[in-house]
Amino acid sequence: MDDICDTKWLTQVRRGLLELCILNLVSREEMYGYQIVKRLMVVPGLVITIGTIYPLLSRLKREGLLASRLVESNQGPARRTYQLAAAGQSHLRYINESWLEITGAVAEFIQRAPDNKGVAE
Amino acid sequence: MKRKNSEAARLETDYCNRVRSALHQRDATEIEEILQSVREHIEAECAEDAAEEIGAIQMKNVLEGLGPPEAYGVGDGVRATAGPALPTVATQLAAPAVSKLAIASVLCLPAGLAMGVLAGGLWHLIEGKPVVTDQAILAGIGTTGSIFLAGLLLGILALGVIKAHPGRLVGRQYAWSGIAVLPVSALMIFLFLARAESTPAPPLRKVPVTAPVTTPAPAPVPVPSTAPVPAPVIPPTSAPPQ
Repeated sequence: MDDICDTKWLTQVRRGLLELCILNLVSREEMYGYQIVKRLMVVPGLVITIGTIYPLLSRLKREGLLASRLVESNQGPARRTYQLAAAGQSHLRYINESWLEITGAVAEFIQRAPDNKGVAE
Repeated sequence: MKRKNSEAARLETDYCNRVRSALHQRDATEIEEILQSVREHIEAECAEDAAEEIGAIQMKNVLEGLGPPEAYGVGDGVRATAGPALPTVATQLAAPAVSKLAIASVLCLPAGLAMGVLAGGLWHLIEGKPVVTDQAILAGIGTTGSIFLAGLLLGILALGVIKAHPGRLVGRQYAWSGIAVLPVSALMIFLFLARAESTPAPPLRKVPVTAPVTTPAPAPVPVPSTAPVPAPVIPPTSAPPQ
């Protein structure tokens, strides 16, 4: 029962974090979907199923947070690149601020909990 | 672009078909876009493979890395486990609201102007004088100034509240507008008064002296005589002879 609860909680946290990570990644530079996947794979603890990133990218594009375009490649067919759209910039600023605020408050709770002495140190 | 043998190509097609089935609830454009991304990913993985031709084994490895096609239906990119999908960060957090204090602060500008005019007008009506007196003007300016002062205080308060709730409250520009109204209007009045005092009064215009204009005297109006009319003399009646 405990294992199921732990896994469920972790999955739920990761779902929200994935969007945060993708938007931050493409805010710095225009990236291919493949590049995004590779960068996310090395994030510790963010266990992802590679292929399912693409539906998420598609949804973010549909919501106007990402913009995409096809870039010709000399090694094969044209490849799609993603970058942060104008609407995505304000959204990203908002979720980053919210995330920092939440994590700051949660870190305090964790530090104060008697069982977690030394966790955050 | 790496060459693939027929078995590898068949595996790829089969995988893409299963992905298409998993995405059946999405619209056709989106399905094609996702499938194109999957194919790009497969191509990129194959390009990194040292083998000259991609066979079934290499393709199976690539497709295993992509995860089960059914997971595409979940669409959140995280390995599906028990429990419903969580809303994303975007939907979990409510959109930031505009601070009501900030709105009230900026609304003090039109309210102050309207109330000032109203107060001045009322004062003028109560006085009942034909010209607008200084008291009526002062009543208007005083009322406007008081409301602008309230706007300034509300604006300062709003800035504090917004700062205390980052990401949840916005409207700094409204708060600053509300704050700026009183000092700006006070400065304008001060400048206006200073200019009025420093500007010398215009010299009296000399009127050229010409021949005096004489107006003809009005013709005398005959005044009806008010002298008492003498009473008719009545001769005394003579006494009858005795």
